[in-house]
Amino acid sequence: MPRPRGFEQEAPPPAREWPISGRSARRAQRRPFVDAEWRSLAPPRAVGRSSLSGGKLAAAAVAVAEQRTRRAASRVRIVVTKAPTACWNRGSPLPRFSCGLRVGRTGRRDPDNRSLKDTMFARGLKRKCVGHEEDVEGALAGLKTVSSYSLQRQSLLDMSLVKLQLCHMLVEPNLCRSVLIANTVRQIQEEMTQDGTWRAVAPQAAERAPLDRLVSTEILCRAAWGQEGAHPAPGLGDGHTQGPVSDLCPVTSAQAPRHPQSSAWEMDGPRENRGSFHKSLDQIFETLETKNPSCMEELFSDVDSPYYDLDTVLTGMMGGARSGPCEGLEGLAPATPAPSSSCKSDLGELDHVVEILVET
Amino acid sequence: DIISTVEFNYSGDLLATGDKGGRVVIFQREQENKSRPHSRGEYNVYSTFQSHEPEFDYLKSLEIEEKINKIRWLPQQNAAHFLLSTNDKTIKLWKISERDKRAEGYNLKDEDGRLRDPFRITALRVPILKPMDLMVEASPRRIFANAHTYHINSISVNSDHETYLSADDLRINLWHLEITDRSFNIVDIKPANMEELTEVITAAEFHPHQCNVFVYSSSKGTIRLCDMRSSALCDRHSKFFEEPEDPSSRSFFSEIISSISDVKFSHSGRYMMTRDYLSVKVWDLNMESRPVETHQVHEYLRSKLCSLYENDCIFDKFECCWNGSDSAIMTGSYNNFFRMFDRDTRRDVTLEASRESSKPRASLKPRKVCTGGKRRKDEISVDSLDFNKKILHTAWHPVDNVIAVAATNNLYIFQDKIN
Repeated sequence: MPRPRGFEQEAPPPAREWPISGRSARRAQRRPFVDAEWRSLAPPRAVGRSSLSGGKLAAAAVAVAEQRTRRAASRVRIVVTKAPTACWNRGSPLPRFSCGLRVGRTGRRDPDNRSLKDTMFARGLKRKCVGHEEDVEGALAGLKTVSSYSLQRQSLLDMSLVKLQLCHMLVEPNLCRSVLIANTVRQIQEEMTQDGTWRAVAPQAAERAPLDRLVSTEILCRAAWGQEGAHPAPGLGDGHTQGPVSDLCPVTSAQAPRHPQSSAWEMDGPRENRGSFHKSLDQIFETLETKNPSCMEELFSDVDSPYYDLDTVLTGMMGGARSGPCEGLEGLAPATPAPSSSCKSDLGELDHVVEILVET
Repeated sequence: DIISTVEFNYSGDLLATGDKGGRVVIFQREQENKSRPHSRGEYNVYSTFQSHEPEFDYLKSLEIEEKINKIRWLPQQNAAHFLLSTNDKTIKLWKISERDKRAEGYNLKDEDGRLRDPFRITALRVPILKPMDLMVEASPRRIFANAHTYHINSISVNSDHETYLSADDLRINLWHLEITDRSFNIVDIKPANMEELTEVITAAEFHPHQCNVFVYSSSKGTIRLCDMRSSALCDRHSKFFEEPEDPSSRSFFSEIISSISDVKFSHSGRYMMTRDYLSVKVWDLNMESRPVETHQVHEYLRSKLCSLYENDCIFDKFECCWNGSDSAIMTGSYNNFFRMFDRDTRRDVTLEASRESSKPRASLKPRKVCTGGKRRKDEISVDSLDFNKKILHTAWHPVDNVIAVAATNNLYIFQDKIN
């Protein structure tokens, strides 16, 4: 699985006026790559409730950008390539989670490469950044829910993709579970493309070279879509029939000798979809309309604010985690026959009597 | 081992459990006798046998688990008992028979089985049947294999006692109990392009009285009732049951928690019950627009859905069951809790199946989960629930108030306190 390197080598864009407070603007400027990601999509609008969705999402972009500054690349890398399939037990939820933590703890800590715990879940992100970004959040007080929603949604998407990618090696994965996760991913995708639309139609976005925009949308959506072929939002009809799942399993193909999901879902070759992936994302961003901001408020009410209490909920679940060697291996060992009543003969009473008669 | 299915037979005298290791353990109810008046209705082990073995699919290089997904009893027609047990791919018909007599006095062989020298036989005798210790034998009478590409999730015996259906994620097959090399496909929801797959079959059951009617539930929270008289392939439903979604409670998890994990007809055949993640719904077969009753099982988990999604608990498949008179329904929850709902009085109770809280003959104490605010004594808070201790499988005696609850690898049997 080749690492996505394009965005690391991108040249910094020219400085632009950024409508947010000075400190955050300076911070943003220090990381031009991130600026490129967000500025190309965010129109310059005043912050505040008056500007409704535009301002909110611009602020959201900044807030998320702040939090993603050092981690975007590493997060993507971890999600896509460093999924430790070998550590994950078949069918056991808790070891899966703790295995994610283990990746960080085994010491693979470059400056760019944060631990999985920090990068994968909004919980880790938010906690780490509370101290640094207080000033930013102070400025964006009224818009905090927007960024938290996007964060949560993004984390949910990451989580779902990891769940889909971690196909069990020995046993066929549960098709129902995979279908449900894939539908969730599709739903988030559709919503995110609808949200992200207005960024794409911003005036200065039109000035930029298509390649830059492609790259930036790829950055934005990299973790979101992963290796998926683009799924057309309703109403587009651009003819892309690749479902989101079609490319997921090849991510693990480098690590796994086979595609366990291919028996459940038939896969096309992933490589040839890459070109169409960029193109269709472009189309999506061009043609989708701005989502009604009031819908977002509605959605916020569903946001799991206790999601940030992941720790407390999970501490209750941590006990008794199913651990140990892969159950698949145990299953392959021959089962001992039942000690009693494993009768070989299938004679009923009548047959028994017949046997007696025959004997004599 | 972890119990994966629990089922009473038609009379309630036998209780079968299947586990993850492919074993079936059958319990039998003790007969009442005057010498031990208090042992009415105790269940003791009657038979144990290995039903399924782990297999390996060489074409796909995948293991086939031996876990018993479902057991269904056949109505008793002679002295022997028959049951169907299934794992992910293969269904087996088992005959469980008793042997309590043994023949003695053979002519051609000794008591220990050695052949007698024919020349030594000077007189003939007729063998006599003598009683022996009861031996229960289980033998596989039919093996229904190679009919399912996907994992079998349900089997259901028809009211005609000759056919049964087996349902996997995308297809439902109809079998005749005598014929193992052929089955008829009656439902097929596999899309031409697998990438368009958005819905799978989660459970299926025959109507208890009408042998041409069956229902199947889907992962999108819909139930389809099909009539086999209408066409050979029942892809078009006769009735479609779906509750309109409440737009105010829509979230990313709405679809997942609406996925139906179990569907059961009432004994009367007029109602059916479906279990989704957070609730149990009772439907009148005559009304497709919405259920007639909705019972919340653990509504306090609604705010924890994200965490439950993360640790995969949101995909747990809980079962539900009716009591004999259809006046009460029961289903399981987490922390070894299970819930009972009385449909007549509209009361519900949460009980716990655990060694600590249930001594023999002691009444189960109702439990309560505290959803917020001040936690009273004896209440348990949502955050201290043990999500590893889940009760997925429960069964209710068809006549009496006796219930069997499977808590991971323990089986609890509770009954009404006799006054």
